[in-house]
Formats: sequence, C-alpha cells, structure tokens
Amino acid sequence: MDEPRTAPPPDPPADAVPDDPALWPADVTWRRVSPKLLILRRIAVSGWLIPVAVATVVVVNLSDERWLWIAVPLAGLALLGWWLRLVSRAVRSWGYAERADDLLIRRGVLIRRLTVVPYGRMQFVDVKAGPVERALGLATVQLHTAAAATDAYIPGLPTNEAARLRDLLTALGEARAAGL
Amino acid sequence: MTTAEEPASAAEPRPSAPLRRLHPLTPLVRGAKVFGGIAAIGIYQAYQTIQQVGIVGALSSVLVVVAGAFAVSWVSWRFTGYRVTDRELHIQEGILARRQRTVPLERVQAIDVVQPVLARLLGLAEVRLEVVGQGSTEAPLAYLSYPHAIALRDQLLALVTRAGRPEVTAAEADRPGSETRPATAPVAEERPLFTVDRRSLIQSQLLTPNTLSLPFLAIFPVVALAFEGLSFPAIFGALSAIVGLAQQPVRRVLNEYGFAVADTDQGLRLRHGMLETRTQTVAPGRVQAVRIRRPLLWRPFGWVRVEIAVAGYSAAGQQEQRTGALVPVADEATAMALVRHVLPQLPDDLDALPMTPPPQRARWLAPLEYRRLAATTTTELFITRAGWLTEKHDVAVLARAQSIRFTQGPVQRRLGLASVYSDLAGDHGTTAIHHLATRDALALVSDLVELSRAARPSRQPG
Repeated sequence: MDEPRTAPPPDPPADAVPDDPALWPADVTWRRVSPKLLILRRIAVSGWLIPVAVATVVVVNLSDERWLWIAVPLAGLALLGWWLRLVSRAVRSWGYAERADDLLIRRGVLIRRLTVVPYGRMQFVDVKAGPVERALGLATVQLHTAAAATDAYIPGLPTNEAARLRDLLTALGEARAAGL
Repeated sequence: MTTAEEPASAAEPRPSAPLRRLHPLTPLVRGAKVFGGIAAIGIYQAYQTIQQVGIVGALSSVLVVVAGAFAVSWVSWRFTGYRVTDRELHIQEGILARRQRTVPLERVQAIDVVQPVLARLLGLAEVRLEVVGQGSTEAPLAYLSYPHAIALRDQLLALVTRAGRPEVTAAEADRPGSETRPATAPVAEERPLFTVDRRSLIQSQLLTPNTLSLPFLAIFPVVALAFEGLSFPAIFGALSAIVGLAQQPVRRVLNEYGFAVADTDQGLRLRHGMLETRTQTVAPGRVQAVRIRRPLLWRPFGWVRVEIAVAGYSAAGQQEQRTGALVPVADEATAMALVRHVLPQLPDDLDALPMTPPPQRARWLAPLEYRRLAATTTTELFITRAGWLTEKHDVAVLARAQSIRFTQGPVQRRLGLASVYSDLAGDHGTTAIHHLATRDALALVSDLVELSRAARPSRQPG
C-alpha cells in the first residue's frame, strides 16, 4: 500500500515510535496506551528476573571460577538493560484507532501485529484489571469475536478510557451486528 | 424469555409445550458406559483385587458400583427434560443443583444426530447442537429413539433456519402468529449429491505418508533385536510410534466410511461413520471456508480432498468422531462440483486466477513452498494457494470474516515480508497467506477489510 505520506497523522506522536510508520495505516488517529503500562511490565519482568538472578548468584558462588564473579553480573546487567529497553519499546508500540466501521489494534516490536476487528463482529467486550493494574488505575479491554484466533486486546488503558471504549464498542457492536 | 421452574408455571407468558423426557433406555446406555470404565480398571487389577478380598467380595463390590451407576443414571434421567419453543431450546437437568439451559436457536450453527455403537444397537441416537462462540458442544440431548431424534432435528432445523435468517427482522419473528407454528416440520427431502467410493477411501488413506512410513517403523525393532537382543524400550517405542502414526488414517477411514452428501431444504446433509454414525446438517450459507487438498501421492489417481469450516464446530470436538471433510476423496470433477455447490461464487479456474505471489526473497523463509504461495480476493472470497508436496487451496468467505490480522516477524521484517490472516468463526477457520511483500500484504489487509465490509450481511431493521 502506498501510504499518502503528504497527509501526516492528525495526532503526531510526541515520542519516537519504534516502528516503521509506513507499516500502519497513517490516515487514522492512533491512540496510545497509558505510559503507566511500562511500570506494570517492568514489575512483571523483575517478577521473574529476580528468581533467575538469585539462582545464578547461588550457582556462581558454588563455582571456583573467579572471572565469573565479574562476568555474570555484567552479563546480567546487560541483559536487564536490553530487556527493559525492549519492554519500553513494546509498551510504546501499542496503539489503537477507532475507524468508522472497525477498530484497529497494533502492537509488537519483534513480531509486529495489526488486527482489524469490525464493530459488527464483536460478540462481547471484557474489561479486566489485576491487582497491580488496579493500583495503577489501569485496565485491559478485550474484544471477543466468534473466531478463536482473534487476539484483540488493549492493555494499559486508564480506567475511564477503558470504560469509554467498552461503552462505545458495545454500542457500535449492537448497532452494526451482523449475522454470522 | 422466562426460565420457568415448572413446565406449566403461571409466570410463563404463553402456554408452553410440556417438558419432554429422553428415551427410557438412556440410563441403560449411560450406566453401561460407567460399567465399561469399571471393567477396564477391574480387569487391569483383577488378580490383585481378588487375592485381597476374595472372589465374592470382588464380585459384590463390582455389583454395587454398577448398580450405583445405573441408579444414578436413572435418577438423572428422571430429572432431565427438554422443551422446544419458537426461538429457544430449553434443557433442564441436574438432581441437586438444577440447571436450566436455554439455547437460542438463532445462534445454532449446525445440528448433528450421532449414534455411538451401543446406542445404535438399541436404536437410540443423540442430538447435538453446535452453538456459535461455545467451546464445546452445547446441549447434547442423549438419548432419543432414532426416529424421534430425526424428527426433533428436523423441527429444530426448521426453527433455526427461520430464526437465523438475517432478513427476518425482529418484528416479523415476534409476530403473534408465528408462535402457533406446527411443532413438527415437514421432513426435508434429500437429494443425494455424493457418496464416497469405499475402495478409494481406504486406498487413499493407505497412500498417506503416515501409513507408508509404518513398515519402516516395523523394521526398527527387528533391527534392534538383531543387534542388541530383546530390548523392551525399543519395541515399546516402535509400537507407540506405530499407534501414533496409524491413528489418523485409521480414524479417517472409520469416520469417513460411507461418507455421503445430500442436499436438503434445510442445508447440506453429511452422513458418515463406520462404528459410530453421524449425520451432520449444515445450514445453507453457514460454510465459512473451504480447503482443497491434492496430496502428491494422490495425484496419479487424480484424487482431491475437500474440507469445510463451519462455525460452531470447535476443536473441543476433535477427539470425538468428527471430520471436517466435505469430500474425503474423489476425483477432481466430482469434488469441484461439490465445492461449487457450497460456494457458487467460486471462480471457474482457480489456477487461472491472477494471484499475488510473494517476492523472490520469500524463498529464504519458505524455500520449497514459495513458488506456490499466492493470494487473491474476489468480491466475496479470499483465496490462497500454498503447499509443496500437497497442493493446497484455501477459500474463505469474506462476508463471514471475524477479524483481519497482519503479522510480521523479525526475519520477515528484515526481508520486507509479512503474513495476512482472515479469521473465521470456530477454531479452524483461519485462512492465511505468508511472506507477501509488506506493501502487498498491507494492500491485501485493506482490500480484505473493505470487501468483507461490503459483503457482510447487515441486520439493521427495515
């Protein structure tokens, strides 16, 4: 698709988006998820990095190789840095756009995905929030269609935005409901 | 719709049909199933058990358990009933926790009549409704007498076709007159379209990679025996591999034996099975996708296999005797005639269609397949081609597309390639094309979105 580059998106992102702008439909207003999602994701990463780190420290302590005492923490720090960078890019890669007839959701750094769900195809909309999400005032909106393969969800929405989206999607879904 | 506790509750706004019981032999079949399970365990441990508690004790405990199983089945039968109203099927069940389920008929995708071996011997059958968006088969009614099951199927189908038609507006369907419809629908006349040739079915399953690799697996334990003497791990490993490999062809022969397709006013009727027979009815226009397969080994015979994706048939039913086949095996002309019957909008010559192929660089990701990869759209269909040894054509009905997806993995991004998916209801309904040039893939996404929007039946009142 040859994107009409002459017309920039009405809401140009302030921070650099780590993806190729030509890849996504540019003639729509992309909305971002809350930056607070980054906190959530970082907690999730450390949640399983800490046990790994502890295990590594134990193993290193048991070994006699002196150089490991320096190499392992360095490698660990590098890995952590790379991971956190990836996480922050992943969080910024999320975007969604409401068009006249469908909702677009894009995401992913390593694997980029774009999902288009027509409003009329929505079976129901879930709003979920785990304990940490709730503490941050965030929620996840998940759309369900009759297809099991549809993987349409948007994490890290501020609670009121999630509620707005849910109401909007439900209303549009009812108005445009199509038979299977 | 109220969910009445009693068949003739005063809360019911209109006189409803009485709750109907399942066939009285139901507890017998259900109990026998439990008995079978116990027998399997019992035989396995018989020797030990008899030594411990003596023959009388063993027999009596088996008797108690079996009697208990039959008693529970009988009580649960007493408390199970169903009722068909105009737009719903009500099922009441449960002894302690009563459960009343309401199946809205407009959401029913297909109705099957299944006869497991034991039920078949007793002339019983099970009616199963496949409902959109449910992981498992909703509301199996087991068991009814076979003629009764057929009559119920026809009645439900008549109601489903009426409830599910998009052009029937809510106002029209709620007309008071429509409530007093005759409870029994006229039995639909069947026009046979296709019957599988039994010989080619068996031959075709012999000519699958699975079956053909079996002799090699059989050689393995022999060789192992010659070199290292009798080794149980080797024999056992080979045996389990053989069982695993033989499973698919054997299951296909059993399931698709006597496969027959007929056209009725209620939709396509598929009948198949050797031990357990199944009659599927696919309402018109419920076919979401068609898959055409031409395996390499079948090509000398000109055989084709066709599978259809129908919404509601989910993966949960896979361990059951189900098949997605429309044509287990047939020659090209017969198979394509049936495909055209299901999808009249299919273009005449699939190979002559102008299709978008992936660029040369796709060979890095699909070295063998990339020459055959291609995709195109018509106003109503999304057609993809793939396969190296097996020629594959997938056709998805755009009007049924649930969502359109685009993905690009890290290697694809380096090469400027991407994949496009069109998701259809059910678990097997995704039609995909991989490794198109990014630009073509994006164009395809917007084409698919536009075309499926145009093709989608709208149910706005008026």
